[in-house]
Amino acid sequence: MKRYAPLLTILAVAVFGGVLLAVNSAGDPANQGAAAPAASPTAPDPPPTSDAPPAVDEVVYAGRSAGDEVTVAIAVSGGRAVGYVCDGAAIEAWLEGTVSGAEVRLASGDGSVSVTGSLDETASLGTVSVAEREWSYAADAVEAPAGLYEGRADVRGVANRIGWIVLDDGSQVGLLDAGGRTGPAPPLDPADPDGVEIDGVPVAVTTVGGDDEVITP
Amino acid sequence: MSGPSAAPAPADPGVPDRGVRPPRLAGLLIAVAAGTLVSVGLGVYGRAHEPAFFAFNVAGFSSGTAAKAWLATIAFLLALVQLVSAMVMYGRIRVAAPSWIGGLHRWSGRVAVLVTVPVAVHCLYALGFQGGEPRVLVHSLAGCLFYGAFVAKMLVLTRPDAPRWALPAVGGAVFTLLTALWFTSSVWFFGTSGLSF
Repeated sequence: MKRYAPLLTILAVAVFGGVLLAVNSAGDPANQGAAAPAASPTAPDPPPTSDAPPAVDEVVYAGRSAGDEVTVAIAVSGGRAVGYVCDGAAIEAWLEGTVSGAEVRLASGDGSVSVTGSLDETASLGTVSVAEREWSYAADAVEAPAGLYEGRADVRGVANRIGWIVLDDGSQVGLLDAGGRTGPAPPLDPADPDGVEIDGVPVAVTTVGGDDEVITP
Repeated sequence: MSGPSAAPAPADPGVPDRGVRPPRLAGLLIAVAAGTLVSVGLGVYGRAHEPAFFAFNVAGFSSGTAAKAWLATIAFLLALVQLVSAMVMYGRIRVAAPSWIGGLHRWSGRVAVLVTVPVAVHCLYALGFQGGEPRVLVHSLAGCLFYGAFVAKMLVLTRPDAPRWALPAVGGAVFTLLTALWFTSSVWFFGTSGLSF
C-alpha cells in the first residue's frame, strides 16, 4: 500500500484539478448566476432601470486607463450607455449599461469586464476592471472623427468583428475578433470608413452610439 | 467509486523485485518521461485553450488574485517544510531524525501540492500559457514544468530501483520550480499591490 501512496497523491491532484476545471467550465458565461456561489467582488450588473435622470444626453467619451493598460470608449444616449474596452493586443470587450444621474455603469455580456464611473459634459472618470484587474481611467468627451467604431465582415464564412477607439489626438486602438480569435485590427481612416478590408473583403464600419446594441448573445 | 464491496487489496507479499534489479535507470527514465508528458500536455492546453477571462469567481476565489497569491504562499511555506524535513531525513541537518519526520514530509507535500491546484487551474483556465513579458513567460514555463516534476517525483518514489540521487534531484526540481512560481506571482503581486487579502 505504502508503495502506491504516491500514485494516490497524483490521482488526488488530478481529480481535484479536474473537478475545479469542470466547475469553472460549468460556471462560465452560459449559466452564470445559478452557478456562482461566491458574490462577485466587482461588476455588479447594471441596474435595469435608471432611477435618476441622466446628467448628460448624447456624449461619446474616449480615453485610457492610468497606466495605459487599456483604452476605454463610452457612448451614452439618454439613460443608456455602451462601451468598448480594448488593449489593442489581447483584451477587448463590448459593454452595455445605464446612466443614472452622473454615474455610468457598464458590463460585458459575461460580466468579466466592467466600467463604473462618473460623467459630465466634458469627461468620464472611473474604474475599469478586466478579469481581476482594476485600473482607473479618464476619458474625455470627444467629437467626430474621434469616437467608437464597429466593423463587421463575413470573411469566407467566419464572422469578423472589429472595434476601434479613435482618441482625440487621432490615435486609435482596436482589435479584430475573427470567429473568436483575436488579432490586430486593420487601420481605420475615420474619413473613409468604407475603405477597410480584411483579406480583400470590405468591412461595414459604423459609428457606435449609446443606443446601439453591441452585446450579441 | 467501485461499489460497496471492497476490492481485494493488491497483495504485496514477498516484494519480488528487490532481488531482480532491472536496469537501474529504467524506473527513473519512465518517471521523467511521464513528467515530461504532463508538462508538455499542460503547456499545450494552456496555449491552445482560449483564455476565458471569465472563470474566476468560482470555487473559493471570492477575492480573486489575492486568494491565489496567498494559496501560493501557503504552498511555498509548506515547500520549505519539505526542504527542511528532507534534509533531516537525508542527514544533512545534524539532528536526530524524529520518528514522525517521514509523515511530516509526506503530508506537508500532499497538502502543498493540493493547495497549488486551484491556483493552477485558475491560471490555466482563465489566463493560459503566455509569454508576453519575461516574468509571465518564466511563470508559465515553471508552472507547466512543476506538475511534470511533481509527477516524476511521485513516480520515482514508487521505484525502489531508481538511483539514490534521483529522489533528491527531482525533489529539488519540484522545490526550485515552486519557488520560481512563487517569486514570479505572489512576491510580484505583494510587491505591486501590497500585502492585501
